[in-house]
Amino acid sequence: MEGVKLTGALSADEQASVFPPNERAERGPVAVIECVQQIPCNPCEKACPFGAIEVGPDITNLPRLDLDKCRGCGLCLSKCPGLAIFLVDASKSATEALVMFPYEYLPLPAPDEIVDGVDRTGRFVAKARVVKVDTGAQREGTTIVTLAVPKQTMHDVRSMRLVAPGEVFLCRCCEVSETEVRQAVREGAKTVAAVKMRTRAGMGLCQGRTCRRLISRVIAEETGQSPADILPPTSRAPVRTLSLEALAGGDDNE
Amino acid sequence: MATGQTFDIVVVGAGPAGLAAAIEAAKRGARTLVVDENNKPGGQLFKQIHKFFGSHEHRAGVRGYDIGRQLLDEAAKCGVEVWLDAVVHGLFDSRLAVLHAGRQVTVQAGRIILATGASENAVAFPGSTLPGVMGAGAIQTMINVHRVLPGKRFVMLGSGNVGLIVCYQLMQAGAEVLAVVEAMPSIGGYGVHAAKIRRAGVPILVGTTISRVVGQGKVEAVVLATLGPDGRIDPQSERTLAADTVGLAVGLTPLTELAWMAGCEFFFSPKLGGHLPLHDENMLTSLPYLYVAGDITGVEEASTAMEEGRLAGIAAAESLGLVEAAAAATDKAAVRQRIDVLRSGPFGEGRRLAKAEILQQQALRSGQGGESWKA
Amino acid sequence: MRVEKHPVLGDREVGRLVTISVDGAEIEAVEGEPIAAALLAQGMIVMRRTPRFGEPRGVFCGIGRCTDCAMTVDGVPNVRTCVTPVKAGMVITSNLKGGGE
Ligand SMILES: Cc1cc2nc3c(=O)[nH]c(=O)nc-3n(C[C@H](O)[C@H](O)[C@H](O)COP(=O)(O)OP(=O)(O)OC[C@H]3O[C@@H](n4cnc5c(N)ncnc54)[C@H](O)[C@@H]3O)c2cc1C
Ligand code: SF4
Ligand code: SF4
Ligand code: FES
Repeated sequence: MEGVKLTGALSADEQASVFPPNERAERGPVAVIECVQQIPCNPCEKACPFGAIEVGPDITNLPRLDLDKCRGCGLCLSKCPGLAIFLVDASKSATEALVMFPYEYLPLPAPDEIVDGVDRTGRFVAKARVVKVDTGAQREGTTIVTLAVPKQTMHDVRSMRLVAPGEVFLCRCCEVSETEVRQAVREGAKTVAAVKMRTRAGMGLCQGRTCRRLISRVIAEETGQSPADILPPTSRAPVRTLSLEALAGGDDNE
Repeated sequence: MATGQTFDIVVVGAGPAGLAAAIEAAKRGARTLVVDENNKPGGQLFKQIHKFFGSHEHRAGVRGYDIGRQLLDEAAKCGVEVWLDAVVHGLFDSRLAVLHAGRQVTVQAGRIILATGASENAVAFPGSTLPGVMGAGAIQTMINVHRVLPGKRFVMLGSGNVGLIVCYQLMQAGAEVLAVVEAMPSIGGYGVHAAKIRRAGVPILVGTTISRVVGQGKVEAVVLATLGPDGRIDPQSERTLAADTVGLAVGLTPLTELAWMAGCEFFFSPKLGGHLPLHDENMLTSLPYLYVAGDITGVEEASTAMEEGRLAGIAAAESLGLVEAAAAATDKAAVRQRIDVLRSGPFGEGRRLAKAEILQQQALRSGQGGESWKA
Repeated sequence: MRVEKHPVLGDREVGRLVTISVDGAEIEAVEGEPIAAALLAQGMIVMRRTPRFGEPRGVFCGIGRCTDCAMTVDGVPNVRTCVTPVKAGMVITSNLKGGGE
């Protein structure tokens, strides 16, 4: 199941259709317009002072970016009601890239703070350093955040999450956070095993011996069940299956 | 009853459609009154805090409540009279019975424009009457207008733009959204709205529904289930999320009581939300004094609602002899062209076809000796 | 819970605070806000019980249409609290036993 129509996040093909070539990002900042459905909308066209975005008279046309005209000024980011325009810049360093995105939540991060860079599904991608937090008055509530991220994640990081003070890794050896486990449960994981599949928690060296109970507790909280009802991970399944078979086999007294 | 008052044009509803209609009518010299049952004007706009889509001509990129404010200023400048806390509860020919701030008033109108909008649909499932199950609109009003969060952990049913936007606004207000649940196999609203909440980690579960809501006297957990190919709930797939509030964003239905009461002809359009008053390309119903505009004529958007309002305002003023036909024709053509643009593209197509059907029906019925169409 | 800070709307402007009584308990409310908003801000989400089965109901439509939020306000029964503004000193009862509407 892929694509914005099914998941709300761009598929790999959809991403490919809007990414600027890497050479362009290496030359300097450039807009990435992640708007792939023909919706009646065109403020981006007018927002760009350099005429780099074209929608045309039929406002359901997809916006087209002229990579040479775009100077990476970032003005279009806060004018897009879909919050669908981002900026990437790979020209500043060999290892890091800058990613700029609109952010309309509180609290805001502070410059130099380390935050979690997250992808189009809110999943953790990499630790990121906050470079700039632009709350300019003209943006009317839309703050533009600039993060420095590892260069290879430039096309993945699209938002951020503040690192909650004292947030714990439920799975010590694989560094899976409580947030990630909660997200997995909301997406449909019902058991410790399913959480493991989605997050890789419990798949580290310890084989889940330490994190199992912590994960069960979070599942219980998210689902409103009692921890006693959360199925243990699959490694224990044979035990249950055996006992069920034994029951099914029957007891002469029953 | 208090003594009656007389206006050239009375507009019912101070949403984007009603205000736009009143502005155009007043600009053309009509003595115009707008009445709204709310204490705040702007209709749906006043709880919309996101930037709107549309063309920049339609103030796209501007937040909903700012559009409302701009319309209201403009209306005041043109000399439109606005009564708030004024519910129209009866329509007898061109007379309106209004309960205005607790007083009964009768208003005589030359022309009436109904711009009463739409009301949210409810949906029933076990537990759907528990406190904590609320319309998405009610949630939006609470968080954005009254600044009160009605819960902490939300599940939203419906992935149309309303459901998606209200989820986004819930998170802006500091709530947790656990999931959006959508029975259809794909997301109903715009991908860019969906993407906003996905980035924040909210799953949008398509092909899934709420099979029931459980709790002692209030919502404590939501049971979700996947829908099989036959559209039935697959019991194996059931799982729970511990939510305390469930939002329902399952569509809107045009609010047409006054049009029924007036006795104009109706048309059924599932695509546009149900029964709606049949109207011609001037927004005129089958009654010579009654016009309609906005969501009451089919659930669309603020941008189209404003344009329909303009069309109705111009046409109503024209029918009162306040503008020359040629000038009115030019103005109306410009509005119609903008409306066509708004209904273009894949998301607009269904509405465009449905609206065309309304006009065909109207032409058909008026052609069959419906002289009532000729004002 | 009140939404104090907001990224788009800014800080909440606190109106005049008044006290109202709900089923005997004194609660703080903002003058002019709907009674239902004041109750929700306190986490009170059950507003009445149905006459037939005594089932609990709370705010559903929020715009005065469904009557799920009806309570007795200053002795007047069946007042839709989602569209009725708070006034200082209001006495509100929830009819939580059901039956007697
Ligand atoms: C969450 C959400 C997000 C949206 N986002 C967008 C968007 O991004 N872009 C966009 O273009 N549109 C958007 N819309 C849609 C848009 O808000 C509506 O289409 C538009 O408000 C319809 O305008 P209207 O004037 O027809 O009705 P309304 O805005 O509903 O106004 C109708 C008014 O009539 C009054 N009324 C009704 N009956 C009576 C009566 N008997 N007596 C007196 N007054 C009465 C009501 O109180 C109300 O104020 C959104 C809607 C929602 C719910
Ligand atoms: S980043 Fe600046 S130059 Fe580039 S498209 Fe946006 S507004 Fe235009
Ligand atoms: S403003 Fe944003 S949502 Fe609208 S067309 Fe441009 S990129 Fe797409
Ligand atoms: S909640 Fe529906 S009338 Fe108040």
